[in-house]
Amino acid sequence: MYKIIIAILLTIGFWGCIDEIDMPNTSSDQGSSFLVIDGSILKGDTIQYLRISHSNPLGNYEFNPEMGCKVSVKCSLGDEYEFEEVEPGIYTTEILPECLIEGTSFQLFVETMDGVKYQSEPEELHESVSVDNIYFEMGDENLGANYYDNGAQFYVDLKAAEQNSKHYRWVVEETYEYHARYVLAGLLDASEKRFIEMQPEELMVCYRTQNLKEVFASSTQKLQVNEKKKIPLNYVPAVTNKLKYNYSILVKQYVLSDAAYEYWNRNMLQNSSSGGFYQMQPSQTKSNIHNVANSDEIVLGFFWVSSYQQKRFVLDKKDRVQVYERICKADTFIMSSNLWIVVDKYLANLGEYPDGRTVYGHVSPAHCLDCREKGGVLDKPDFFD
Amino acid sequence: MKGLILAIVVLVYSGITLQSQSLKVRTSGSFSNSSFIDFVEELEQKTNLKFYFDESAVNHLKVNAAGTDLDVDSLLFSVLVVNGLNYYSDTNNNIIVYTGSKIVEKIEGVEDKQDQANFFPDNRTSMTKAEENYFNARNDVEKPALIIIGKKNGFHGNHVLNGRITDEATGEPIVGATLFFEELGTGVASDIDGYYKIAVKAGKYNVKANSVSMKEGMFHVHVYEDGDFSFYMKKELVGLDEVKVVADRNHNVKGMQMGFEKITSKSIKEIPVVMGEKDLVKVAQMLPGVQSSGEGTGSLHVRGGTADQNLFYINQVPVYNTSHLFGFFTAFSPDIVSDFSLYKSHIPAKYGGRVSSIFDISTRQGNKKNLFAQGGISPVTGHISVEGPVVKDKISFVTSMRGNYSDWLLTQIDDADIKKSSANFYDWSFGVNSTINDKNILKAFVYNSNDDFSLSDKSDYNYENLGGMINFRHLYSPKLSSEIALVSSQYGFGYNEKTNPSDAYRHEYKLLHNELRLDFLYLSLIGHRLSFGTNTIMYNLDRGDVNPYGDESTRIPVSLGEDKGIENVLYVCDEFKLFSRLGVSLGLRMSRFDNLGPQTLNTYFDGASFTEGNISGAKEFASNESVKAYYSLEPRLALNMPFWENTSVKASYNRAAQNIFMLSNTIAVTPTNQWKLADFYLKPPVSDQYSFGIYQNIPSAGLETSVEVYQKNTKNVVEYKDGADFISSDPTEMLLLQGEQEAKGLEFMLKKKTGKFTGWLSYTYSKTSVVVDSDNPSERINFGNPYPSNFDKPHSVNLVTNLRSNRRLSFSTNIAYSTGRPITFPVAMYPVENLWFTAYSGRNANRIPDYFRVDFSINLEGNLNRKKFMHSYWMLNVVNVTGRKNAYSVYFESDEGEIKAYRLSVFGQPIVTLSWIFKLGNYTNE
Repeated sequence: MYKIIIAILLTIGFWGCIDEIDMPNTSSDQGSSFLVIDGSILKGDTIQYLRISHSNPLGNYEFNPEMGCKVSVKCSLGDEYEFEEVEPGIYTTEILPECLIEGTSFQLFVETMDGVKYQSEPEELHESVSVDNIYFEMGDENLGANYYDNGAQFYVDLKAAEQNSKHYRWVVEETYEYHARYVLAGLLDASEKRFIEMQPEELMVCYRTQNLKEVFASSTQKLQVNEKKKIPLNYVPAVTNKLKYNYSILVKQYVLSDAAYEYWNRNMLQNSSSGGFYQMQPSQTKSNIHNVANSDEIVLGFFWVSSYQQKRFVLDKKDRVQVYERICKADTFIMSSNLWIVVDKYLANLGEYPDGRTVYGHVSPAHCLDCREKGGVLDKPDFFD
Repeated sequence: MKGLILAIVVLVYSGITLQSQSLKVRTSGSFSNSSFIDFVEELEQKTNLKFYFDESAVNHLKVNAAGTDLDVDSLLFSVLVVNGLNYYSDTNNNIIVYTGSKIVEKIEGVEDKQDQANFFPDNRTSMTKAEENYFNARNDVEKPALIIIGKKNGFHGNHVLNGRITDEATGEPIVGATLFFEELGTGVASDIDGYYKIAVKAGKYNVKANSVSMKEGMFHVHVYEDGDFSFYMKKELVGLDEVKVVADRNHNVKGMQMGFEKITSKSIKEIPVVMGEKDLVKVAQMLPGVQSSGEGTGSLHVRGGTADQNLFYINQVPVYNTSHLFGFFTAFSPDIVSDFSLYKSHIPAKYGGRVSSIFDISTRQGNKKNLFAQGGISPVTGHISVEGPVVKDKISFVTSMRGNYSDWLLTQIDDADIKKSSANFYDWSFGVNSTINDKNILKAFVYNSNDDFSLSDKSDYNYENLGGMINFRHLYSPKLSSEIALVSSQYGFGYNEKTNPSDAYRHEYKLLHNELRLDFLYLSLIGHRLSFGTNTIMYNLDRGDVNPYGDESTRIPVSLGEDKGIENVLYVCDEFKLFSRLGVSLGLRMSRFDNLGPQTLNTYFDGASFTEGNISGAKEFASNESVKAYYSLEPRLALNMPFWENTSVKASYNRAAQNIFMLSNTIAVTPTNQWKLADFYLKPPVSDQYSFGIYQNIPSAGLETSVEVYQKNTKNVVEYKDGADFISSDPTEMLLLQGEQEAKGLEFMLKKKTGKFTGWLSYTYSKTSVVVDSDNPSERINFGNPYPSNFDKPHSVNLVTNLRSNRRLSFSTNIAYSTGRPITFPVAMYPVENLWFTAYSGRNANRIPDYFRVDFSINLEGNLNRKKFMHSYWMLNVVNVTGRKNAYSVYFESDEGEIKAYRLSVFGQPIVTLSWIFKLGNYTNE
């Protein structure tokens, strides 16, 4: 609905445009004042995490830990679990499997060093549901030359029984293979002033795995059956070249309570607005955690309890898509003694001039030669054959 | 320049000094029994002479002359003076032809010298003899007619004059023409059918009749008894687009109205517009106290009110969605709109039902003498209107059609979804006016607008307004007339959401408004102008069903329910003078609104908030049983204290209630917004407004100024709860909150309505805030603290100018500045898992950047030859000349875990469009 309006606005005024602008400087005094409690009890995980921090002014991505809190979780079966601060602001505990059964509820209690007490609403653990089909559709290819719009949109189907929860959240972890642009001949080591030869292709192929920084939530609340088709997950633009070799996503399907769904869904919508104007007024998503003595205090974050199942999708070879290669800068040089200073961090491949004496090389930025520079690892995951 | 009649009176008033000069121009040519008009045309081409005359006076003249060195002076003498006409040439080679060679010393009907001096306010003693001769001769031409009403048996008591003012050329009634009785300092304006009524003391009066683009009529009226005084007015044949608003020259100061704007179609013709579509609503946004919610949106916000607080009437038919293409265009074809009035402070008791404003749009009534067509082509639309007589001088029709062909624009966009989309709209209307006889008029009007869009395979959407009315007007006596009207208006939309196959749905919504109105107007002899009447509105709202769409959808069907209501209104309004100076308009509007069954309601525990958990039971209401009745007593008072001839002070108090409002959780109006009636739980919003203003005219400079201040408090304004979903099965009381709104402001207006350079400058200071508070924290917005309304723009300046460089060429500009609208920005961000979320605090605590835009247009007309079959003009528009990227919105999005701010601008660069407008047939029609 909103997209069509924005589309038409931009079309009729095809003089319209969207520009990224500097982050407005909003009341920064308020920016760091809110307490953030973010954590979960997940059936299937042995260690349960809770992060307690303070919010930041816009544009500041630092983690401001709230240290020295007393944290505990009470299970409706009677047990209480104390959390331990393993890193500043990060608290963990282990919950016994006998407590992690469907129907149990958990309540979080936090007391800060200043003695301010917070607690959550009780959150019930619901039964997990197995992940149904995961598939993708390629974007429109009729665009011809305009391949920029091409890409794979992934979807998941949901198939749950009537007694299951109606709300779900998916966390997507993607793994893809990528190659360095040039074959690496060796390394120039400036400090030692030597050339270390490498095996060809040794640092050529990498695999990178990352949790996507997107929220995917959906509900069957308005449907007659507890099933839903074609719930959109991530979109992989072909231009990223992630679809060129092996590609896989691991989809974890978490079951949510009403309140948790409300929280995640609202954040999903507010973080992916398309124009803002025909959207609802943004508003604070409600936390299920409150200050015991002062319910007016704004507390950010959510304490949620869930069980999950997961499923992996691996892209078929025939579906691989290659678009264009990013150009990697490469310069030719002739080996000489003062070169070491210049090319300290560079990697090079080598050749010889026909005279047989002069050695030349190509220098290129590290990421063009060593795939690990882009965050991947060399070990091939076993789900890629 | 042939065929143009100079508005002599205007010339005299503007004080141009004329000097007679002997004509020493020679020409060549051969004229054999040529008409005078052809002769003049040739002469104007060959020499730099310019002729001004009344065509009817020279029609019979023939010119016979040939030679290479003809003396123009002798020629004119032989043609004109011989035939009883006279002519005058000034230093600028203007030649003015007038009837009668006699130079009168005394104006007939004006009794003494003092009166004569008043009649022509110029100080005539300073004139040369030649000038005096000239003016006297002109006086003869424009000689005021002597009208005697009743038998001459002395002047006794008060009497009512009534009559109808029509256009000589087309027979159409003239709306808003003013009759001004100089000796009394009062006047009256004609209504939509051209009728007027005024009570005056018996006596002799100089009466001036004025209307937009009409020649001023002057009469000496001797009133002895009640009587009818109907007359024609003649078109003032000036350039197609000259803006010359003389009709309401005295309204600003003398009229009772405050916060009232009247805009005629003619006066906005040259204002630069987007895509060449003339648009009254967009012009309204340039008026003080009126804001839009953003470029390309159709929502209007009057004095801080929401979009649903304005009521749009087109010929008495209420229109519930006034926009095409999400508001880029207004759903009224420019061809048939004749004018609109906007009431924003003192709303006459006759009108009601909305708390912010009334927009009353009148269409053309159809040429009663000749067939006439006009239309135009712009890059996105084509439009045409045709009108003419069915029975000459008795029955006329007018019809308009407009459609778009903007799909070509969509294919220009590099986006697969948009390429596969379509956007279409059209509107048409048809009206018939029948003057049965002097006492009875019957009118009918039908209106339809339709929009249809689809975005790729994701959503489709259409909406439609369909309305009509029949109006019968009867004159019982000169003192009393009545109007009875039957009105029906229907609005509906359909929406298919197809993005997700399981979730896909169709929602259809329908609103039916049926109304019967009876209005009376009575003039008492002791100076009271009494209007009273009654109306009944029957509302039938079917909020529709949300049904699964497509084979795969498993969506649970939801019925949003029906809403039925009846509104009965009784109103009375008296206009009179106190202490012979203080103008008073005292009105009272009484209404009872009933929400009617059948209805099943939830009941809630006493004092508890409306939530699922607090439901205590259910309550059933039978069909047509009153679910809840709301009474409203709305006093309307306006005072006008004139101080000097050109200055007055006005004050008004206005209360208005609104029984129907829009369910909206977005800032701008979207086409899926539903209307909803006040019900058992949701109370009608009620506003109280106090206004005070000073009005000053400076006639010598053609200027009007006004300063108005106002304070408007509205209770029960409708706000929605966070995350309210209006297509869910939740009853509306669970989704909405009601609060209070306070608006105050100052509006300044400087208008220049006459001359080559016209336009206005307006400045508005305003502050609007809303409070939604409750004992229950979940029923508060912004923690119960006041917050700026979505349309609170403290400073707003608009400059609209039009410069006519000659009769065929004119230049217009709009310059608009306003403070950016309020917006809710995140105040903080915080980590959750590997993501960053934004945190919001105070609602509308921030603002988008200030808005500034300059638009420009050039109008070029073709040859103004009166006998041409078709007249047309070109309009070149440049919108956003400076290319400033005004923020339409600022929003925040997470991009791979990073929060970024974006600005959306709709007109991010200068937009140039060329459109062509034509008229066929009788050129004098506008």
